[in-house]
Amino acid sequence: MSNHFSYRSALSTSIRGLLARTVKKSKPKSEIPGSQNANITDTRYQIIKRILYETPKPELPKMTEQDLERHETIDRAWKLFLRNQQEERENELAAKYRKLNEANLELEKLGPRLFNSAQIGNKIMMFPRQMKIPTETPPLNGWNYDYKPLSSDPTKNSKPLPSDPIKDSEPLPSNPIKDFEPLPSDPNKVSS
Amino acid sequence: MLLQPAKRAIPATVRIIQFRTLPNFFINFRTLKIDESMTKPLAEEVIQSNDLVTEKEIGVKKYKTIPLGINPAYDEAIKYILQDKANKYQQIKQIDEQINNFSEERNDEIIKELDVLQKRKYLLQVQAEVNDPEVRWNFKNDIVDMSKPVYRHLKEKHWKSGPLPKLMERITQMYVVPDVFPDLEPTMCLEFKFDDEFVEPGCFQRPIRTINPPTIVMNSFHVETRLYTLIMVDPDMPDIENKSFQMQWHWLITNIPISATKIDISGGNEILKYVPPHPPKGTKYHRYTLGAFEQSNGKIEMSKMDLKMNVREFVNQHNLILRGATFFREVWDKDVSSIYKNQLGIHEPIYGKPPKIDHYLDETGKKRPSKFIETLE
Repeated sequence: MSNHFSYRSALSTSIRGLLARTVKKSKPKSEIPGSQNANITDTRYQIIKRILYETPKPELPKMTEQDLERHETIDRAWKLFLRNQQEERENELAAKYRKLNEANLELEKLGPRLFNSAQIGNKIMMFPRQMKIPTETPPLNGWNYDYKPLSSDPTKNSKPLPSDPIKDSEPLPSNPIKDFEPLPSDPNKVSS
Repeated sequence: MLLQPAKRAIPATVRIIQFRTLPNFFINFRTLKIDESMTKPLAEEVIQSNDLVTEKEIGVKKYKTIPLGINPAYDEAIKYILQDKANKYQQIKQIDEQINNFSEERNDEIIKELDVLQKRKYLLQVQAEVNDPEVRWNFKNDIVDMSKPVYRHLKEKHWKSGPLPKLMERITQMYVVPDVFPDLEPTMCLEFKFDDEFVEPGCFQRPIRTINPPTIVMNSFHVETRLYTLIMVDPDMPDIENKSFQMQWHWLITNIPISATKIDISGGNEILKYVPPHPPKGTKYHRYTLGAFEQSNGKIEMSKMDLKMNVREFVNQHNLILRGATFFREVWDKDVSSIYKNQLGIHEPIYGKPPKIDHYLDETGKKRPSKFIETLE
């Protein structure tokens, strides 16, 4: 092979270095995305343009005036139903909070010890008695299709609590909390 | 064979509009051929079509209830809506009883409680009727009874979502707010008509059109009658001495009784008669601003108006609260000259820029020799 060092360039080393540094290294135009000279054979651009400009608009259902009115009425009625449900829930919660507040005020009058212990609360994590523990398999008694929650009518007589097999000797409270619902598989199930 | 007119499926409503707005006085009754379709009564046609309009009298629209039994979802929806309506009216009855139980005295606490109850009652009255398809149809077709809370609510809501933002945009863009009024928070929809056509705020008008005062419509949303003041002001009249602009009064009416059901400006005291807009030649466009103020101090006794007074001074003097505003723009036209001559009877001013001084020419206009050009200050 020829000896590389025997070849001499017209430019000196220092000038060649200078030139190399000043020439800006630019990407070939076909590589810059979005440019008009972009690689036309790349189908991604075609696909993107098609999606942007040529997808058909979704066809709206053609409704007469009467149809539209029917649709709007049904829509409003459904939304009203949901709104009423939500309001009922909110009112229940508000009532519960009020009762809680009143109970605390009453407790304050009774004495400092009970009141303070009630305010501090429990550091011990406790679960409600009726909470359903997740199980591997469904219950043996199956699904109770006739289950009905307690009615939220306060004027009706308060329903008795389901009997607790462990502590049957304890006296039942006279006014149960509204949301204390009987277990689905309870033999003493209460239907409203 | 009779020459039959081109048969197109024209819905009944369009036919009626043709009758109402385009009276064709040039129908040649000799050549008009009576087609069989024309002899059928209109009512039959309406029943055949899907329209909701009954036209016993031409032009009067009335809501036609959708028949039940076709769509079970619709039947259930109507049932639920009517049930909810009954519930709401029950609640309104309870609130009425509560209001009646209040004692006659009116101290601050009782006023507050009554206010809360009234607001709740208004809300219930709106909620009871707002889902009724008849009410919605009526509002859509502009058959509005402002004495009912529903329609007031719907109208206010519609105004606040559409026309109001547009008005505020135009008022701020055209600097009506800092120039004429310090601030504007409208609670009333002030509209004006020239030649029976509503004008959008900020549009240019021809001076001939505005020689006669516009028909003003003050859409307020309160039931009780309050007294309002209407003003029309031009803030863009040139003031040569101060090299600035001055305000010109065009119209002033006080003590106008306005409520939700009364929307015109009758019953007021016209203190300053309407002066037609007259933008002078050489000035840029003028903004003719209308303002509706609520009189917080009751009736205003005023015989004459000091035309040199500013709008802000006037407002402060009489304790007025700005409730609604709008404006239109005008520019000089040949007709303005005739307004100056006929209506105003004053000499028409023509404004222009002061002449530019060319320092390279001397007084006679000849080129000044360079050695005599002074250094320009």
